[in-house]
Amino acid sequence: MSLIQYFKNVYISRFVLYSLVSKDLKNKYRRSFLGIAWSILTPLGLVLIIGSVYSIIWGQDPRVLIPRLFTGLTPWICISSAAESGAMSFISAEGYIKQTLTKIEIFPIRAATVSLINFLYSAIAFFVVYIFISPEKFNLTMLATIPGILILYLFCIGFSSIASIININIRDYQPFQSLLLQACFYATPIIYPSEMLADKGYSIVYEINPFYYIIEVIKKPMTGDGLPSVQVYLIAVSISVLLFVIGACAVNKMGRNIVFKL
Amino acid sequence: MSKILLEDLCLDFNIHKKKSIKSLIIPGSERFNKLEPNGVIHALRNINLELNDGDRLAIVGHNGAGKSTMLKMLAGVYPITSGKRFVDGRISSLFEMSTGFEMEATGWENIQLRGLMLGETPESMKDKIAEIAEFSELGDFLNAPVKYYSSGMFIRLAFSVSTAIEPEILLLDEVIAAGDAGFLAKAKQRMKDMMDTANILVFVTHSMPYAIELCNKCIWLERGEIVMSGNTKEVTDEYIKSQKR
Repeated sequence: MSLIQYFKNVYISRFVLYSLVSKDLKNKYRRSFLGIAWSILTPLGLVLIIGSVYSIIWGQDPRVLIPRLFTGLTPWICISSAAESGAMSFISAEGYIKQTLTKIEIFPIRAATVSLINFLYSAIAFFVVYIFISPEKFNLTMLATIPGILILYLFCIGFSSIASIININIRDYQPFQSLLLQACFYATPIIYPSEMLADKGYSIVYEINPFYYIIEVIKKPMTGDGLPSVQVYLIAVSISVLLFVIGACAVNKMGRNIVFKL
Repeated sequence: MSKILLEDLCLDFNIHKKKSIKSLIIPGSERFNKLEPNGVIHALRNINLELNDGDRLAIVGHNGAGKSTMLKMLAGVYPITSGKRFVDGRISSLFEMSTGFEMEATGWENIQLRGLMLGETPESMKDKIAEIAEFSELGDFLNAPVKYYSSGMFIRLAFSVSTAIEPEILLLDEVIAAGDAGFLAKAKQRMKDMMDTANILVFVTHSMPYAIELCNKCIWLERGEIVMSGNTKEVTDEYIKSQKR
């Protein structure tokens, strides 16, 4: 029941959501010379730095390494920024929540949507660069990136909603989550290939890691390396749906009582 | 037809005792939290009130008496603890000014956002935004980020939006006082005009002449309870008398 109410509330405040998201996207780079181009330049620069370091250390071909890094790192940045800004989403919107009847459901969605749109910008940048580096890799399975993005979005909304609710009750959660995300980053095959863990007999680290599955359904189709297995899809969808349902119900249950916690 | 009906309404705040590691290590460092032993503040107690079309209610009382809480409760921002709250009619409200603005955004963007938050659609805002801008008299300042605005300019912006959306019930906190004399006169005129279209006005004020001029009913709140209610002149006279004592 509360899930239906959740969707109703999001629908009621949809214009506010849209307006806040576009404002956030504009605000981030307001007054900077390059503006929105930074959304593409930042992940690109990051990947170039990490990519060149690792290709020197491991002696790997940067043409293989950089696409793998980019397609792993950008969905990760999307998830972690959704979680980080999600945790603060109610606190930063205190003025709106205490002044108007805007449905609170939209604030964690706002955080997730801004992160996702930034991811989309960098994905577009990726494809533009990739077609010059490895045109032979382009094939129809790349279209599977689209359902991957939907799974990612659902996951981010769920994560952001849960983080927002925990943080409004326990303010220690936000700094703790930052640490936790950092730990998960190293436990997820992003800067190193998953085979590296498997070879050492630590495949369990990513097999029980939910982030691995979410990133896998984007990374693999994006690089044109074919489709992830049905099992990976099933797990990724289940995790996202579960997280979303828990988050949506928790936020809906909180409702207007949030004013006493701000 | 609009109506507000409150029966035996109570609203409690749970002031959460914030346990921190400091209070565990240094006993007694929490002494400022001993305002209420169980952490509950009764913000509104046993409120009974009925307002119908054409009623203009002034709320008077000391700081911390529960006036602003009352307004926010009427708006639905604060959920009630017990009793009955029935509010029928499209509400527009104007509370404290310091929050609820997007500081980096321009005046125009803030008008749009505030309008949407008060329940307008982008479509309906298109028709109203010019009228709102004109009433605010902010002119070219609307192109500047609102972080450069003075408090008076915030008032102009917020009041213009809140009153432009044609509410049936208008809730106003003691805010318009920060505007300059010209705007104050204009705002007062608008509030009077609105009484033809808006059906109910609830107005928190510390200015008794204002209350008498604008309102036909008045309640006097103290520690979350209605001390006196009735004709504006009588209630404000009593209230002023109690102040002088």
